[in-house]
Amino acid sequence: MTDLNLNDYPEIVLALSDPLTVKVLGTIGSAGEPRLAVKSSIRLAQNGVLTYDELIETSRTNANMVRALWFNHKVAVSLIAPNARAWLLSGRPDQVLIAGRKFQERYQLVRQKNPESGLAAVWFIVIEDLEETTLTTRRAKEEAERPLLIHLDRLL
Amino acid sequence: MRDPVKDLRPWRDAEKSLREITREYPSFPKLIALKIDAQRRGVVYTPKALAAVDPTVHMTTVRSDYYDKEDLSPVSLILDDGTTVFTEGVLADIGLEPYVVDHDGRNAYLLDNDAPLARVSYWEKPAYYAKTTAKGRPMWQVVSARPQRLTIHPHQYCDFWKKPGQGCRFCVMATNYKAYGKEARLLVEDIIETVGEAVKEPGGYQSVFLTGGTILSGATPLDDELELYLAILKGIGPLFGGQKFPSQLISTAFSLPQLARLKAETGLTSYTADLEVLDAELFKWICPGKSRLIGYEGWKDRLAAAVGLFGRGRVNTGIVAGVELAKPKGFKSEEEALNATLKEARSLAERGVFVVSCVWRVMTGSVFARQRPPSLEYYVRLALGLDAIRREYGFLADMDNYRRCGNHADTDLARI
Repeated sequence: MTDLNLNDYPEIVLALSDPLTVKVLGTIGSAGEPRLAVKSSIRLAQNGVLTYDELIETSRTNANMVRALWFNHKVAVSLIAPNARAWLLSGRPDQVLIAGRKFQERYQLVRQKNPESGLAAVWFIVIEDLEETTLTTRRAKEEAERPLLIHLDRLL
Repeated sequence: MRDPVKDLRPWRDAEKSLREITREYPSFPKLIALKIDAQRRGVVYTPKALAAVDPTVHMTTVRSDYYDKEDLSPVSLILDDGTTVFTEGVLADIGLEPYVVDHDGRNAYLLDNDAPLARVSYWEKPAYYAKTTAKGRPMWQVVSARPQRLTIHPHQYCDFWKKPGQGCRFCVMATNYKAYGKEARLLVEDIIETVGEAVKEPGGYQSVFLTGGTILSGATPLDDELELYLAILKGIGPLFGGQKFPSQLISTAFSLPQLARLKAETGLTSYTADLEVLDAELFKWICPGKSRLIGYEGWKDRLAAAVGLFGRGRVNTGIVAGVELAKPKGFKSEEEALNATLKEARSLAERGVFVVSCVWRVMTGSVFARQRPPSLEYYVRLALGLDAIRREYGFLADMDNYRRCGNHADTDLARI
């Protein structure tokens, strides 16, 4: 699978930079159980990969991310922009920072926003695949490509 | 697993490779297996890897009770999952080819047989490393940093070595001390000042850690060792408003009254006294000074007493995993050693003490310098076994997790 550079997708870059975009991280647990977590800190790193701040060391999502990195599992990120444009991105955790200058810079930014908060880790996710999941786009595509799937009353 | 006595084949033929291990133990993370193997075999740096070291950014100097260095190679490495790979110390030449750290201009990698296995980063240098204490001592010489832990070695010699044949056979503390001509004790004022400076770094550290060589003297044995740690912990305490703070002490096993003072008079939150090897007879052979002073069962009793003060999950004991196979008195096979070690770890868990393992890095200057550590498979099975015991008995690994010592593959597994 080829790694995608999200800088090549200006609409996604725009959505990631919009604080009103809903950003959800999907991971799987040790028994395959799915887990979703809203991660408003998901953003674009300079090299075109996703990054986010993990605030809770013992969160199930954090453990699932470690597991995904260790055992080469995929994770998913859902983006829903304020204009209802949406995308589903999938990829793999590539690195986690738990110390060092970049971690400490992020730690300070997190604490400036919320002095009650700490920072456990900064994750990086390399995206391998993406699809647009905007409802209107999906509907138009289905109607064009799979015309037999429509309810008859809609054709009256 | 390998029989170290009978099996004299070249090591690569006698052992399963990292690739074979990760295939046979699919639940064991490859990066943790790689960490173990790199610590067991050591690493060397290519000229490109060394050229990539920026001494203004990367940690290149360290002073501790077992290792001092000031050259421009990295002190140690960290993997992409945040796992620490220790490369500190001078490994004895025991015929295990080290891993190679190379650099492609953008990233450093660990290689074996020319094949890149994982990207690595060099440990970064804390800001306080560039500062000096009021007495003029460079702070990096007073408190060393692991990526998220402040490490204090206030006594850099060990009194057991003052009598021939009493020091632990795997240990290089005395050799290192003599080679560097250091003073045995750091100044408590320097330590307190340095910790005070270091904890100002936002997000820099999650724990304060103290350990050092045994000090036998005092009104009762070890009282002077206790007083040294009390002075430091009491000096550090006000930095945290006098409350308990994430901290760990590894000392010679203190008596109950001594432990009670640590608990009552300081902010210490967890306690460790290292048994080093989980077998009474081998303890006597490998750690003769500790054995004569306190004894194997006495050491265990003191650990159990510490649980009564600090609580379950706040007391552990470290082992130098692999020394139980040292020749000629060690176990004769890895299977036998593993079974015995895990059985004893379970009996300690029954008493509220969990066991953490360190990879036996066979050091130049130790009595055991001509020995060879067990196979990677042994360490993988030991880490799995210790992790399973810890989970079964409900211990959290927080006091000694991947961010703290970073030298325990078994507590690395507690991340998931």
